[in-house]
Amino acid sequence: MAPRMSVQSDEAALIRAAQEGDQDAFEQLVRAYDQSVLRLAMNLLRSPEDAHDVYQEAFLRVYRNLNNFRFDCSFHTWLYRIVTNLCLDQLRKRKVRKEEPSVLTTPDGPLDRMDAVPEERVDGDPQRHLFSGQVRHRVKEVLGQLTPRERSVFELRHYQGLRLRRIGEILGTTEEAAKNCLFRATQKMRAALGDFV
Amino acid sequence: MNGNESGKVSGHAPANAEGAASSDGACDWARAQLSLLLYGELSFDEEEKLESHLEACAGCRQALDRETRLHAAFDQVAVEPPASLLNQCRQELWDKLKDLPPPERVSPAPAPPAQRTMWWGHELWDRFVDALTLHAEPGSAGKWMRPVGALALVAIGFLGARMAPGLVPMNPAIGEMSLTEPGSAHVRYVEPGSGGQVQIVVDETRQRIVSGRLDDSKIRSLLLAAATDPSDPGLRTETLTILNGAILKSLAQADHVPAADVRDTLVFALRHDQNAGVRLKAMEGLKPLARDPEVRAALASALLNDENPGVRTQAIDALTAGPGLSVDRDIVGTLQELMLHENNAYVRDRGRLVLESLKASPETY
Repeated sequence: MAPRMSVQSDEAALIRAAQEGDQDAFEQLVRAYDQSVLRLAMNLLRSPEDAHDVYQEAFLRVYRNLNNFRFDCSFHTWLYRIVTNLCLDQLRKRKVRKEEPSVLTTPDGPLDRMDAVPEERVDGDPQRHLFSGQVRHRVKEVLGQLTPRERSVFELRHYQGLRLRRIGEILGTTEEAAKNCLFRATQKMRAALGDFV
Repeated sequence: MNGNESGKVSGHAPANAEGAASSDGACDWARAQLSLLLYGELSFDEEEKLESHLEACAGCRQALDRETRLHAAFDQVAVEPPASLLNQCRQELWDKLKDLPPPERVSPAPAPPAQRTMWWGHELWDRFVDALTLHAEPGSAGKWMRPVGALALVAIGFLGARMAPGLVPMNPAIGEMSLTEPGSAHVRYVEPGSGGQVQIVVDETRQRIVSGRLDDSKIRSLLLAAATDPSDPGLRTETLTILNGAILKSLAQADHVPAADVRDTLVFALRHDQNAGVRLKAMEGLKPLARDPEVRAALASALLNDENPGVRTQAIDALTAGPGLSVDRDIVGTLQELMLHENNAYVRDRGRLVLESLKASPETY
């Protein structure tokens, strides 16, 4: 896992160097954040292929627009704004196409494409394993039913651990609006998972 | 965030059955806040009010247990991108960047707004400062402006301190505050600042901001306390990010060994934190210390016992792929033990590849 900048001044120096055309500095910036970016895209889109595309597009946009970054916000906020906007576009397109590529329907039942990547370990108890699998499947299903905005706020808060204040900055809204969005998301999840917890 | 800002959320009714059954407005309010409590997003006053209610209401305590289980269920679907995907993404990006022209050179970005930018604008302030300091011509009004200005400054300082006590820089006073005593203070938010400084928002009876360097013992105590704050995984993650930065910095100084208390805090988080994201963050900080026997033991324990496959995967990397690491018999044994009971195909695969690269059998006999 790449280390995040230890202090903002180091990061600012890297950004300025990258703005001057220093490719090494840009690579260092990418390495500092790209695992988090990929994790965010994977969890939001639940598709390794789409996460890969978002990663590429996000960092290319950062590169092309680096000279527009004026230190009005943190680089992290700026980068995450680009990534979440790309993910939101992708999620909205899926809604329009009414497709959710995470869970595929197969003759053998639902198959999650993300099962190729890490899954939860359970102990040897088959009943518990089955129950845990049901919970996971249900959580994924409900995540797919959230609006793109609810899903983004939920992802950023629950899985990325960002504060609502920062999430508001990333999504271009207020902390209060992000809070209401998170509230709606957890309310839907609670209602849908009531039998499992 | 303050208590008044949450009015909209507070107005919602909870969706679970317990909430629907409750006719008590206090219970409805409390249950609507439980998720925000677990996320550490309530203000100090809201949290106090909720905790007082929870102490007196068994039904809401049960609802909190349910909410905690719900959050644990969310954790089950978190995914960690495989290292192979990350490497592929990086390689493709480097290839694409080669074909792109460098970003256009720009004039240096403007410095962050200076503190003296106030609502009345620069000009008046500049004239005021000029009058007080250097630019008063002999015989001009500046001569008498100086004592008047000095009096004005004292008055502004006095009024400012009375009207906005929370905005006063706290560093000199840290030693006098019992910030680290349990129960007297709660760290709400931490943020890395410039020049090695960190900013910490502390809840006491009101929030206030203290700032200082990590080598300040009070700042350090606050951060170490925040790293184990049970109510707020976001706060713990951000705190560990700062501590990880401190470790990297001390390692960059040749004769400097990372402080044991920081290392111990990260080890504790890796072993005991309930939140997988926090454990991953602790692992990130411990990776450069993987030669330390205590760190090694914690990493091995995470590899064999952590419930999150992302953490287990990272533990393999930390134990085997760090700079200057030599893989000894113990690590091989740990990996072989992992192969005995690992259910996750991806983690098994990673373990098998490492063992093969060491020319060790994936099985024990």
